[in-house]
Amino acid sequence: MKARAVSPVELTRACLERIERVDHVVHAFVSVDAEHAVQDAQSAEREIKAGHYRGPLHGIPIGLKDNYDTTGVATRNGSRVFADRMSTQDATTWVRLQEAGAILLGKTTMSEAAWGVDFPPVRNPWDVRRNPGLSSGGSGAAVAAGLCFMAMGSDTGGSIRIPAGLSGVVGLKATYGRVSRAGVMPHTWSLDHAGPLSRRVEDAALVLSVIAGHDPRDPASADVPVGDYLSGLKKGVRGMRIGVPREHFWDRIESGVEAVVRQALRDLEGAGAQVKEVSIPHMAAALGAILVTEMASVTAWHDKYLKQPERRAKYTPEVRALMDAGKFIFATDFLKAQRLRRALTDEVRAAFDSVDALATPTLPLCAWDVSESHVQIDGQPEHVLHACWRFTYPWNLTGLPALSVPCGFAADLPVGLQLVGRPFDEATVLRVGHAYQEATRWHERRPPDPVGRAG
Amino acid sequence: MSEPRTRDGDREGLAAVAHLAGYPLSAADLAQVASILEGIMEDVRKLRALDLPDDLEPILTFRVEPWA
Repeated sequence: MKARAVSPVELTRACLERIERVDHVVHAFVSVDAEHAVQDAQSAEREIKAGHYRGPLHGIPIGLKDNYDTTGVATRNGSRVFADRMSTQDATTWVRLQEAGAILLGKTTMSEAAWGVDFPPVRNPWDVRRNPGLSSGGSGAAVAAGLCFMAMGSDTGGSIRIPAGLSGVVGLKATYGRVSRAGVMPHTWSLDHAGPLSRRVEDAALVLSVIAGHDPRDPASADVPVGDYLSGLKKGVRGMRIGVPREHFWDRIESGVEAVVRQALRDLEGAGAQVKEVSIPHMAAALGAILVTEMASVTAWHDKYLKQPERRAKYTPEVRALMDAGKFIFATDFLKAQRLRRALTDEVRAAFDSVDALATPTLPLCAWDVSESHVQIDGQPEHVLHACWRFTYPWNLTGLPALSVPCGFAADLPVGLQLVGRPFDEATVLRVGHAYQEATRWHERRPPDPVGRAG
Repeated sequence: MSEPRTRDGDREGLAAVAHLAGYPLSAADLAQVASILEGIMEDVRKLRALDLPDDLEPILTFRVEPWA
């Protein structure tokens, strides 16, 4: 863009044309504002021509999940309850992306209120009969289908990393507090993270460089210096110590997925890393902790809407039932969950005494058929929500930075490798991810054209 | 979440709790809620069964700090 080999207007028009051609099948965008996108691209083009190049995001077309506040465009949180909701202030992340010159194409599709598994019609570009992931599925599908270069998602139990893993793209959840949540509609206060889904690790690093940093609008925002996420990206993993948790992550996993991830660990060794087992004993018992934390918190936020009969009726029955169920979470269980979070954090911290990063599968399964509510893993039936976030939620409970990178395919569907770091050490996570990406090049695979394959 | 197998008695019990707690729900809504609660109970029981140290306090305001 800086060398003017391609212009923001050309790039934006190319994305809009692809959305026009493909998105009637993928349904990754819930709204597209072509007119404003082209106007903003023209403005970026004038600035760049005049020598006012703002940086690598200047003139780059992106998407925002439908729970990011944007003045002038409705933020619906994926729900009829908020169909007409116009925010008066942009999300802090969107403010920072605008300052960097990004062009907003539109809002990406999400599951209602980022809750439940009764998904909107968004489809996985690798197989349009299948699901693209949890609530940021539209963002993952948009990037995988080549509709935009980056899309922001939000992650409460894995909703950036899960669609990244299922759709074969990169997803980054930074440390809790690293990226402002201000202007992103809340789901679970103590678990919510905002972050990018992109095609390459360096794009995630670039976006993080723009959106990271203290924000007085977010009470959980950390006043911790922002690192340089780009300069160390290419240092490789020679001599780095990568821990693989012994518990939980290998107990119940599709054999094809396990084989791909085990190979990814060998590839990291081949790139020079030392891969060793570590122990985090409480990991397996933590699912109850996130369930009660999330159920109680979601219901607490939505309670005022649930009390209004007209609004209550607008929630889909499945999401309304989940929110009603949250009223029956006992305070004693909620507090036990918060005690477990402390125990789990202590154990993870001890595991990090001997390693620089952790590596796990992102998910125990590949993308499932959109009609399925239960899947079979190792011959056992399991609810898809339960199955798909088993490996991602521990890093929401502990708030640690976690990245999913494409690491191959099982039965022609993408598999993700999850990399986890110490608090605020996103640079190491990105460095490991980049080294793996460069050693394997899985990120260069693109899904076949979805048009004509709709089942 | 496991497959729901909620019994009528469970729903009646839940209806009484819902009424007492000030969250009265219709019979249809209660049936769905009971199904969801049953689906998560295995994991909640595991959480309850954990023997955590007496001096382990809950994290009531979640913040992440750099590790020394």
